[in-house]
Amino acid sequence: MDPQNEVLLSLTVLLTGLVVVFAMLIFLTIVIKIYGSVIYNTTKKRRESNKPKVEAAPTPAPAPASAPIEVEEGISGEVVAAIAAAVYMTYGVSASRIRSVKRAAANPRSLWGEAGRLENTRPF
Amino acid sequence: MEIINEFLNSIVDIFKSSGFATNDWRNYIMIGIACVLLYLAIKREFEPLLLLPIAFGMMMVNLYPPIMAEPTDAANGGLFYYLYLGVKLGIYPPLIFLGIGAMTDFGPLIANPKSFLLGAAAQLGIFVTFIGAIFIGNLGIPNLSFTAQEAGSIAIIGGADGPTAIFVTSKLAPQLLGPIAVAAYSYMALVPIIQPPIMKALTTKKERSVVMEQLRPVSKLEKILFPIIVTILISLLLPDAAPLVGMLMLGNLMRESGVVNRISNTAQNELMNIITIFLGVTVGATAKGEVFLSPQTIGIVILGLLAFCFGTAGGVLFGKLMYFFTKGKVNPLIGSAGVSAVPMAARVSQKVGQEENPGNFLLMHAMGPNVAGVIGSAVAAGVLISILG
Repeated sequence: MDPQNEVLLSLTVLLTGLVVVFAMLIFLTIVIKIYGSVIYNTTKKRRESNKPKVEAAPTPAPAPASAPIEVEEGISGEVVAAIAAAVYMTYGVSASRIRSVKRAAANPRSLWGEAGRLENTRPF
Repeated sequence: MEIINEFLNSIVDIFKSSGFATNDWRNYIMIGIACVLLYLAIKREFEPLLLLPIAFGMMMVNLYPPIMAEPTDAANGGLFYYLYLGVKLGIYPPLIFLGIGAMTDFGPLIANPKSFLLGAAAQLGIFVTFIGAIFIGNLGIPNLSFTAQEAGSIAIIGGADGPTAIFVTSKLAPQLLGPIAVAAYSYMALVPIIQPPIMKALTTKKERSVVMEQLRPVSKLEKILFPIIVTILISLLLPDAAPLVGMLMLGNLMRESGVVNRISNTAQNELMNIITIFLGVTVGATAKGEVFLSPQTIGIVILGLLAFCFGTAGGVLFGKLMYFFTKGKVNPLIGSAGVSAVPMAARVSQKVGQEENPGNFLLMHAMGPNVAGVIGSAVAAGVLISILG
């Protein structure tokens, strides 16, 4: 390759490469910024509209009395609290929605075995 | 007497067919290099997942060259010849990208899309090195010159992305695959040594101490839409980058959609591991003594280092520009992560930042340019293939 062609090719690749890479990634930046802000704002609005409205009242209303949870004998308060926390994490509802806590019928299979079976069969 | 003669003839025949009689001195030097690489992989843990199979493949081919032999009418080809077809036909690198996509969280990039610019700036090393590789022939060193296609393959080392380097080289200059792959992976392992001096030289103490704002949370919908949008845009605009970017994004969509966890897990683990073994061993097996030990390899090693240095400098300098325009809100150190080398380069940004301010956590901010660098180097690969292919 003669020196003139070397210079020409080098500058072509340098210029084209940098311009295309920058143009492509700037384009992606703009597109992601736009759809990101649209989705972010939409979900934010939805979350705000789902929030219970706080009515202006001179005195705070008394908390509604929730029905007591029926707890089977032998189940400690700590276990009930752990179950309430798990229910909250999974379903997003407070402990007041739990009606009762009782032992399930004894499973003749090993719990670990059952968990393994569930893991393997869930996709089907 | 006749028995003794037959015995001696048999021994001579066995010796003639042994490696001691068929291999030349270059094979033994390569076996020595392979042993050094094995030491670095096992003892120093330099990219062991790739360096170990590469080094072993290198050792095997120099002990027993027919393992890479092409099939003839009289004999079948060697084992590595068939495994190497996945490299030669450009199949393994996109499959590796599938696994990388399934392992990557693009959240930091979506939360701060400006990171894309740092990922673009760090590709500077690729294009500057291309010029170096074209002009190195003018130095007058015998056997040290590169064609435009070879220069493009060497330049892509600056993308700091092994699969991309292999993909481009297999398309443009397959004869250089061995030295380029070895240089690319060796420098990726050396990122924690190469980058910090450049980062410190180009930034001030004040710039390195910048604490960046926390990133906003990214919703699941944004994460699901990201791979689909990127694939559509890049495949339409730059089709040559589609195999790499498409597979990267397919892997990511499998991860983020959450509905194909089994496939996602396979892509991240079993498939990735199998392809890594095949890719590493066969890439190493391209490093035969007579091919590897040449002035061209020394040129590739030097140019590869330059590519890494310029890429790091490009990212940091663009980071400084962003620091200036955002009035000190961007820490320029995250720019160096734009060279890819996921996640090592992001860790280096974090480490150098914490040296100035122990309470500074740049890792998640650096992951944005880091994953943008993967997309950037795939785009740069597409540009090189489309111009030089």
